[in-house]
Amino acid sequence: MSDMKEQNNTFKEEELSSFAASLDSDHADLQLLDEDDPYDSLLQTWDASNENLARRKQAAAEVPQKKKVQTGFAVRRRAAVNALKTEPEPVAEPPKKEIPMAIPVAIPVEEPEDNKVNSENPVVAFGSLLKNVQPKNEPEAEPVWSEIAFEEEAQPQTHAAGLTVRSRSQGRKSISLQNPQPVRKSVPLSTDRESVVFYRPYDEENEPELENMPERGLAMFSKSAEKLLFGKKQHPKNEKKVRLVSQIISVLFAVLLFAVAIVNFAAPDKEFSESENRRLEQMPKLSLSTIANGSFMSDFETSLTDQFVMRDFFVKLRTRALVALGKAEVNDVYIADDSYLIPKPPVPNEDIAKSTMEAIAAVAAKKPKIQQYCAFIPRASYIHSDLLPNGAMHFDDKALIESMAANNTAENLKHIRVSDALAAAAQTQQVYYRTDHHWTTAGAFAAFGVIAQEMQLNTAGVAYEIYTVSDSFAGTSSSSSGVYQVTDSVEICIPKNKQTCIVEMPQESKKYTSMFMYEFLEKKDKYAVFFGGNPSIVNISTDADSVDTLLILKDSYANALVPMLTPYYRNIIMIDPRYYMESFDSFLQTHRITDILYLFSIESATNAEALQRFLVS
Amino acid sequence: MVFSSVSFLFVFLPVTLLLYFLPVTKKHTKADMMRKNIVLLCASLVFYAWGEPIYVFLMLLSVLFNYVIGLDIERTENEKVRKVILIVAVVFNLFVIGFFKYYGFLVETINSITGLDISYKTLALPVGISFYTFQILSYVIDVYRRKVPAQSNIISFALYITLFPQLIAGPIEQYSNIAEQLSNRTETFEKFADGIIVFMRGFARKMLLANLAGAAFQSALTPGVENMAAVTSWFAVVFYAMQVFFDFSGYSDMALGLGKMFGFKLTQNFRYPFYADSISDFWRRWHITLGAWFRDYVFIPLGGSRKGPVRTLINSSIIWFLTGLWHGAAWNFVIWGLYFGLVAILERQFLRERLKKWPAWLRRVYTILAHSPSWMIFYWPTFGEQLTYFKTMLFMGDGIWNGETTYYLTTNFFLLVILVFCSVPAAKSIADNVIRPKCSETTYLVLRFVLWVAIFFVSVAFLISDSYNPFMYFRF
Repeated sequence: MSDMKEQNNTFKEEELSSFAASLDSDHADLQLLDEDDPYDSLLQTWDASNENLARRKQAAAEVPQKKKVQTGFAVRRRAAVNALKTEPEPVAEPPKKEIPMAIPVAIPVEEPEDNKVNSENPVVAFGSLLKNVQPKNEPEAEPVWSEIAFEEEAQPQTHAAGLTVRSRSQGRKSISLQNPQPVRKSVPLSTDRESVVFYRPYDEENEPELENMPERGLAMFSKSAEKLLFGKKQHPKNEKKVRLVSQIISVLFAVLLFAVAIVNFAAPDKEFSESENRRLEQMPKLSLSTIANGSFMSDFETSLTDQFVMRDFFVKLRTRALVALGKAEVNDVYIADDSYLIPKPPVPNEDIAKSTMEAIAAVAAKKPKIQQYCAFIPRASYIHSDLLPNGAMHFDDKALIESMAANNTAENLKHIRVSDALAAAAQTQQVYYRTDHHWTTAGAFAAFGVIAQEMQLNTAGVAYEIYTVSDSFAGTSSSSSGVYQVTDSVEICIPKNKQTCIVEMPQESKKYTSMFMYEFLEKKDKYAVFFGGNPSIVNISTDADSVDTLLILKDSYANALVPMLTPYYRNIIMIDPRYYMESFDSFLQTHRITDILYLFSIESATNAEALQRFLVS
Repeated sequence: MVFSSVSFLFVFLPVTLLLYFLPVTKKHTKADMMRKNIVLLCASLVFYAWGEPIYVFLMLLSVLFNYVIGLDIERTENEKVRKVILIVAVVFNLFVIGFFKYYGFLVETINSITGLDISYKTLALPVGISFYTFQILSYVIDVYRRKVPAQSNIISFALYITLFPQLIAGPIEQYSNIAEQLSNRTETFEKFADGIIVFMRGFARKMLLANLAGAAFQSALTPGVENMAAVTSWFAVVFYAMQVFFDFSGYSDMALGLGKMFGFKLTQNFRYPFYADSISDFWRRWHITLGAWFRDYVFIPLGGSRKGPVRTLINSSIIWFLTGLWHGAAWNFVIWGLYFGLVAILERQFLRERLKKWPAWLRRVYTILAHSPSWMIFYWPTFGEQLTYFKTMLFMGDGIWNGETTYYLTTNFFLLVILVFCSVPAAKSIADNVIRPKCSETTYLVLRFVLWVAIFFVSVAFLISDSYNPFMYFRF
């Protein structure tokens, strides 16, 4: 390198090959930058050669005409020579010094059509190529240089580059050349660093100004090297084939998009999804105000998603994919052992739990004459914690219930603990549905045993009959998880010989002679066979001998249990505080209540504010 | 509108494609290009208005103003006058973004420093304003620098700003990169087919990888940060970093693919950043177009690294500060940017020589460890929350390992493997070195298409049935 003669101003073959040989590692260009930048933290990012260019531009702008900046071939060549020269030894003043242009390592493709990767030693290949292309009897002693600009790699198979350049700077796009020749093939050099070279033959007429030169520096080839590199065209047959396949792919994709769009548009909209157990969004009405506030757009998207063709299939596909990926929960439902779908319990909110308990205690203090019972029901994630995926988050519901009972001091408030009875029953019976978050009738019956004992009900003369009313129940856990293949059977429990009752739902202005709404067995949510879901208030009048009136403040868990209580009370009033909007205080003033039973899932007591809000109302 | 929606995929895109490629004008003529540009412009405006029915007018105003400015700068001979026009334009554009994006942040900061109580109304941030403002600035400045001629065709100019593939989440295209393509580009089946594949890849990255990683991150937080074990919290950070990366790069891929279908060639924005072997390298691979923009329009005009080490340090700090601030109008983003700056400078000063001697895998591990904490600065808006998280990461939460850690790792293990596999150039390496040499170009193309259509199918299943599909750029 040091013996290179600057004044000579021509590139000799050996100079080039020695330059090539000097770039002896994969990271030659990287090291170049590294040596020269005082702050590579940023400077490597802000690629050096570009700054160099900008600086030269500035210089050119400062002295516009007087001192004509030497442009063109000679300058470019000198820049390259300088770059070659200065590269190993840094110039004295680091901040001001010219940063040599990053000189790419260029490698020829051996054979354009056979996909061969020439990656053992690119530089040697470069050198040897140059040796090959400078035959001694070539008349043009001085080679003609061409410019190479580096384009960022796009998609290896569509373009075709004659050269592949490994460049540290490849993350940047270079200037676009006016007439980039379509290049033929790129050779992936290394997996993450590659650039495609667009190449333009040297053209003296349209010699670009120095300012417009490729930002990345120069690479030089003689005319004969061009011929060698670019002479061979890619096989036209192969090109045609690629085009044909591309056409097929393009058409297939376009047809796919259109087909889905048209089918979605043409298919009639559904009101309700049985499998997901929810109302589906309908196409929104168009109006200026809904467009301006954006609600039209979001409703439009929801309705498209909800009404998508084969929606159930896609939901199932997603669930399968998640399970295949090793997920043990889908949409907050654990896929547990023994085909159980167990809802993932939310983290108990201590504040809500505390205020709920305080509100219950306040009611007990305010109404000392009313005997009150409090039964919180544990969840499947506690009773069946052994079935949960290993380490899955769940909570000790028994301890939670215990901690809520611990704060209570009122004499007329009794806590009923049903966890142990449920756990014992779970050994022999199915106490929770596999596909729903509720307990089964068997579970409710096990809890009823404890409740009856604590409430001192006289169960001696009462027998219960259990009927299976459905065996195709796929409940909420099934809907939200997308695991649709498991089903449960639903049972009802009826006190023998005590069937006469009148069920009144005053807010819906409806009266029934049964607590069981059998028409719901034809629908999706078969748990609604008990009272038809969750009416806000239900009055049950029975032919029981007692004269007591029991008020049950409850959530949906109670629905399966309440029928078992009918033989012991003349009147049972069920209030679901989530839906009952009147005040509790005025209710108590207008009704003669002898007992109150709080019958809730522990989750309603620790994570929902409805009960507490109702009690203080 | 976002790419990851049914409205885009099965309504907007087919209609736009149909109108664009409808053979009503003679091919390869000026009129044809004009018609196509008008179709694209209208489509882009609908695309934007779908998400921002009001702010679309703000964008149009910006377009109009800067169109006039560009022509004005070009027509003016007097250097001083040109400079004045440029300053007016830059101030106007910065004022718009400042008002809509940084006004509340500024007032809040002033309030907290001075103890004043200046009230302000929080404005909804116009989606994509950070992206299109930067594109506009690049145009105005380049015209001023005489790097490019001003665009006299208002359709082409408006299209440059609003082009829907890159409108709301980048890449930030500099005008000089795209000027030629606005008036002269060719759409070919080869490009279209390739664009499809790139789009489907981006779509899968967003719908499958980013959303699943995001869900995995969120599920780690369920018990509360204080109740997390250290190991869980570390893995959660990995999932969050993966979410940000795949979300952002997924959008960039979709932009590239869509652009290609319409004959555009947009700039690659990500290049396996998690495969970087130093923090400086990381930023050469992460959000490349933003880095390029700051370099060309801030760093170099400030003097770059030519004015001595002190100025270079100051200039670098300004860039890192702005990089952070660009990501969101909140202090945690600023600190996030400065954190990277600090690590990069420390790395430069103390580690550079040592790093060179390390094996490649060790350098990569170092880089991942060095940028990991930054993601929690990125995620948690307040210092207190960040501190709580870092405490958990440093074993001050619920110990090193708890029951949930077992569950977390067993149920997310394969996801993690897939995420890591996709964030390094492994698949590309296999494709390039094993598959491609063994089959012809056409077979390879068919193979890719079949593979990506299958993945696309699954992605659509997730699009339709996944409730967790966030749009992460609402703060950019």
